Amino acid sequence: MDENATVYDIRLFICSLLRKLKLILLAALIGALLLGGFQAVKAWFADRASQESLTVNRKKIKELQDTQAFNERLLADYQTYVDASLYQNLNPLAITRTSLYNHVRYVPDSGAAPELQDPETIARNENVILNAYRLVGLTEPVVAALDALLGESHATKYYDEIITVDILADASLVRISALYDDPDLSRQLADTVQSALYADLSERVRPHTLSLIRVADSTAADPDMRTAQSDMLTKIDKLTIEQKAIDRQIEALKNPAAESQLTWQTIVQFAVFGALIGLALSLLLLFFVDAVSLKLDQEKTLTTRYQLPVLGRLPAAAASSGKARHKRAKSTQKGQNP
Amino acid sequence: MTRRLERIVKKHWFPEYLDLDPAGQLSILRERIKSLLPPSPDGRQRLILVTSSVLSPDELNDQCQKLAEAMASPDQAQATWRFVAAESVNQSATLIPLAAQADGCLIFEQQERSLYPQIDRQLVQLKDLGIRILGFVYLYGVS
Repeated sequence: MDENATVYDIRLFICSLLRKLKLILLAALIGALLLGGFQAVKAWFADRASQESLTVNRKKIKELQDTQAFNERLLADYQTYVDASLYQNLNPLAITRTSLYNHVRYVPDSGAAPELQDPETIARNENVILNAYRLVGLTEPVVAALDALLGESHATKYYDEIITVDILADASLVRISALYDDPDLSRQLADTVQSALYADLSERVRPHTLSLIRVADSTAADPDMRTAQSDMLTKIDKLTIEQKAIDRQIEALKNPAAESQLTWQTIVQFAVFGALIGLALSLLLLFFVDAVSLKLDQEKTLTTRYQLPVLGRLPAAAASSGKARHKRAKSTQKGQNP
Repeated sequence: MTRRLERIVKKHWFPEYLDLDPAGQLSILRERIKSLLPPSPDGRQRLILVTSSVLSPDELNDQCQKLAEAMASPDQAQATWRFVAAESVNQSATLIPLAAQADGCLIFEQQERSLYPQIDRQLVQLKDLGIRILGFVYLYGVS
């Protein structure tokens, strides 16, 4: 007699599961409600927080849009400057700087009063002329002359970047400098400024003479120009990137619906997951309950355990109910084991 | 619905639980008893003890009656096989005199784990008394 022989048939387990199908479905439903409900409550709180942040978002969007408009304007200005500036479009590897040193001398009219001929008055008038060269800069006639030389119109500010007029007052000198990546054109620019400015100031400030006493020119790479050009391109790139980032931020702030849609999907996913967990747990529980159950309607176990044949099968239902039999079996057991 | 499902599954895997014909089973049981314990050559009546740890005395007597009817031959005045209910093998006072005369024993059981100790004791006691155990009669129930 094999005391431990017990035959377990999975088919019987499935039959017993079918008997408890409602319980299994209930467990799956509870699992789905618990996990799905948890996710739904979480989503509800998130949605409420989202509503509260909507107002904040609107304000943020307004601020971002203002920044974007400002940046757009700045970007347009930068781009216009890069396109129109002479300085930005020169080749910094070979820049020629031409400087014309001129001596200024006040020349009073031949019929001028004698008090205008004295050295002090002459010195004061020369000082006026030097200050005019220093302060006036490029006048309209000068710009017109430069436009005529280059064959295209440029704003004064762009000429200011490549042409400088300064003075050495003690020596009554005016220095006119021009930068260009072509040595000839650099000299022509300086000459044009000199002659046009001289004509204009002679007429409008004081009559004077301008004697060219030295021409200095040198051609070299200009690291400052290179840095300035590179900085400008970097600014444009940075602004372009910033604009795109602002676009994305505005889009994200404008579109909170995507998050809510995702939440619904998550709720369903969690509910399905919960149902599966409930199903698995109930199956596991029923398996253990079944495994330790006192009753296993299985004839094979009986024959295996006792090594005795089963001669026949008779219905037990007519004899007595299962509960009554079980009760009797228990009472018999108690009686035999006082 | 689940009951119906269970019946369908059981019918597929365990047709014996559903489609048993009690009369047919009784006749199979009769044939097996006959083959295990054929009529005595000297015409002596065969005494078969019937015991169970799950059936009440009345139920046991009822089963004995059924068996006796199934084994009876209409042409014989005296039955060849006699079935006696031995309600509890612990009641040695009634069992021992019967044991000396018994040709074999049938045990009506239903496989339940809680019954193992009783079945174990019954078998030991029957063996101690030298009673030949013919086998089990399996009590099935369609739940």
